[in-house]
Amino acid sequence: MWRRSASGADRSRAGLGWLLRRIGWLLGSLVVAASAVFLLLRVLPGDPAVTLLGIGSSPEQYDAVRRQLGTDRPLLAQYVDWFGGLLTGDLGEGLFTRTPVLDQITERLPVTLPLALSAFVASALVAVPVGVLAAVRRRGLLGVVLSGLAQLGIALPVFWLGILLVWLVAVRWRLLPPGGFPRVGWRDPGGAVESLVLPVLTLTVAQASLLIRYVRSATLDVLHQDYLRTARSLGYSLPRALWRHGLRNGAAPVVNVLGVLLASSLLGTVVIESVFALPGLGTLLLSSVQARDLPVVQGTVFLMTATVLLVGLVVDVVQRLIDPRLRGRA
Amino acid sequence: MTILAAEDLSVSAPDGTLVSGVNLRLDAGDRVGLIGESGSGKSLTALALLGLLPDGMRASGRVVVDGRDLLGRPDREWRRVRGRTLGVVFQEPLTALDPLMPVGRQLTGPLRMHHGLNRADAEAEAVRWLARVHLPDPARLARALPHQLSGGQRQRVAIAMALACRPRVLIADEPTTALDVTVQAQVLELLGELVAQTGVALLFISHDLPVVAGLARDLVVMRHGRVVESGSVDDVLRRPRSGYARRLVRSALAVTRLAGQAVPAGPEPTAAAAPERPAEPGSADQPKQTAQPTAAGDLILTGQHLTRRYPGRPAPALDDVDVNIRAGTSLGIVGESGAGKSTLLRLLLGVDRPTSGQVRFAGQPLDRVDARDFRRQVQVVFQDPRSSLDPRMSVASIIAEPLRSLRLAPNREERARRVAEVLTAVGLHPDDGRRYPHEFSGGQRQRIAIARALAPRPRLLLADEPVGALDVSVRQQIVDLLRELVDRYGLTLVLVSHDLAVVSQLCAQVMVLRDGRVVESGATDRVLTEPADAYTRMLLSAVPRLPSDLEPLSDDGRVDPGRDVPASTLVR
Repeated sequence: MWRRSASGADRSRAGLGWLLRRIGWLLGSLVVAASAVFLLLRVLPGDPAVTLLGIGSSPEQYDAVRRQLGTDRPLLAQYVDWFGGLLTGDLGEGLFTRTPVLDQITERLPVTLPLALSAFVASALVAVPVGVLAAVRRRGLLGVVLSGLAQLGIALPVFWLGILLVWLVAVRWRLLPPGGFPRVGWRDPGGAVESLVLPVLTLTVAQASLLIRYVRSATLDVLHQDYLRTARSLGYSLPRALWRHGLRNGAAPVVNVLGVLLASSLLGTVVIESVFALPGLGTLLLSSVQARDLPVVQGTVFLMTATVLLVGLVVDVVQRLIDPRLRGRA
Repeated sequence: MTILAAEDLSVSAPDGTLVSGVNLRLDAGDRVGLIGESGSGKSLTALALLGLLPDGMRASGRVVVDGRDLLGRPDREWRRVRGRTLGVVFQEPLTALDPLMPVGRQLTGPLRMHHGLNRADAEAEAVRWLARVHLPDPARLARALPHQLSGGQRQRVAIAMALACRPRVLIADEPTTALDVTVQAQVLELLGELVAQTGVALLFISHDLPVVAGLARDLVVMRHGRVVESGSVDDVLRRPRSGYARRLVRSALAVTRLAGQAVPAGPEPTAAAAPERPAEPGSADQPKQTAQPTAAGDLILTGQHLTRRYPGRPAPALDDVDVNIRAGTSLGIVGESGAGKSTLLRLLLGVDRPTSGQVRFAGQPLDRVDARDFRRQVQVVFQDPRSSLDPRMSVASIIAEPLRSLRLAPNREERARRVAEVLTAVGLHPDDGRRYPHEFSGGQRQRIAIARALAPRPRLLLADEPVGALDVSVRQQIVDLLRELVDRYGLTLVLVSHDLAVVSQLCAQVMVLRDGRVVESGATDRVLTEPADAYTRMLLSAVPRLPSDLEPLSDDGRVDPGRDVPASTLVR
């Protein structure tokens, strides 16, 4: 049983040191992200008080609203508030709804998380075998067709595909609801699943197409490696040699893309949720941007950024698990 | 009994035939050497024998294994002989092993597949094989990943993998080419030992005649995809019939007679142990290690107590090395990989800074020297002209680049004139400037790289393994060209090489590095004939040579008395 060599405590200690440093980086990035999100929103045009009041209000009304919203206070004080809140897990309150931002976000998660995660898992499950097949059969008809389909999937705009599916499946065939989400949420599991099928399908097509290309090129790379030739010279068939040596070696670049994909599927929900009228994080973000509800925008964007950074950390850890050579390095 | 035979074997790609009409036969106990340069088709022949040609290439003729022609048969039938009847060792030990799988498991897989061993038996057998290729602590090493082993150790693992399933033919495709010369000697010895022990028939493929001649009994010489000569080793070496084989034998003999052929001493580079201040010429010139008087010649470039440590490495890459380069000398820096040759070169070039110590140019510390002036006077030729020339630039603009960046030629006409000049100087045609690097052969590309280095009229030329990436038959031409240019332009030459034959032809002085330290330095003919250091002796004795009783041949096959290098032209 020769698994990878786990040569003792010094190695795992080095790994721990690396992990701590990496987490330190993550925290630093979060601080930068929090500041950037805050500053960007103040720099961008649009005043929530104006939005709230509409055109034609008096300066007195305007000042009062600004005081009420807290947007009249010095930038530094607002920044300190925002930061202090973050440390205690308080993202502030929405300007208009007066409900905690965190609650608004967690309310939306039961829609967005299942959507993003199942699309992610489905893309991976589809793309890995298809990508490998496209690489192995690259000279045959099958490989050309698969690559072509992937190319098409990348070229199609997500919203257009979504609309097409709605028209076909929901409007013409009346198989699934065209959009929306059960008012009672997951307490109506059948309804919830039904309303997520089309969005997940749409997102999966878009993401799997992209992933197929990466899996294909990672597999091609492995196919051209000397060690694969060595394996074949020892009597392994091409599929067995690929299984034995390709899986792990090909995984490294693919895991990187998976990380990017997971992060982008979270951001991709903005478009998908609008197309399918789903009350998720994406629509929350969109509506609060339109309303200039700064705390909500701020909180949502920060949370998405934090997720992306965290996914990056996970990717790095997985990379080191896959490739022990990385562990020698600091 | 014939195990493996190629009959009228040809390999073709969509754009032409790469191997044509090769006949080979391996009976039990045979040891056949297949020799040829890159592009001769020798490796493709090997892959065709295994049914493993790259996509898009087709073999025709017959490949007969144990009486059955396998060419055109499905992969399933090939798999029955691969690994089991035919074992292979490939050239690159760095890439031939799966980097993410413990070497033990890379051995046990085929054992279990071919011999149906259970896991425990396969593991025991794998460890036994690791011991048989003389790897230390095989049980522990089985758990190591390839990157934890040295190049030589990896090649031993690859040999164990090839032989573990007890094939009856071992095909070794340049198995030692990527290795250092002392490691090469060990691996060759191991191969000889295992072939004798197991009785496996050997097909040894190499570009290096002395290497092949040491192991093989019969030789097949390939060129441009065809067999140009075959016969017993003795016949081919003593009575080569083709002009090509004659040339191969002759250039191999140059290595054999390396010791007697060295360049006579010119001005001595001051010995490493003697720290001296180039700023005070009167007090210098007192080498401690050598008795040679130092001739005149300004110090161009010096390094004192050069040490370079890289973070995370316990041992310094370069450890307290002194080097003095005088105008008009030629200094060879010799050593195996990891010796610090490239590090020293980088420090001398000013592209890297020493951790401690100082590089001086014309007496001035390098950081106080005008960078543009330094670059004009000190130029470099790199090892691999395939990667050192920008593929998207025309040859003329490649050569004109230093002229432009150093602002040496004020206008287009003058640049064009200089480009034409240096192109002619390196033996190319001025019109070649309009072409692109990929249109040239490796040797021609190296000429272009040399032309680029010459363009700014440097005083000092640093060459980093300038023939290392070239084919054997081209090497001599580039060496001759360098020698001629050094002579004609009065260049000072610093040559980094692992190849003692090249150094002996180009350099009056030599400096032997090992593990970042100078083990020996002095006049080349002295160091190569009477090496004082044990490591230098080992390095010299590890160079594969032809039997020394062979006579040098001329082109028409007769003994050639005039082949000795005219020493007077070598050093100024």
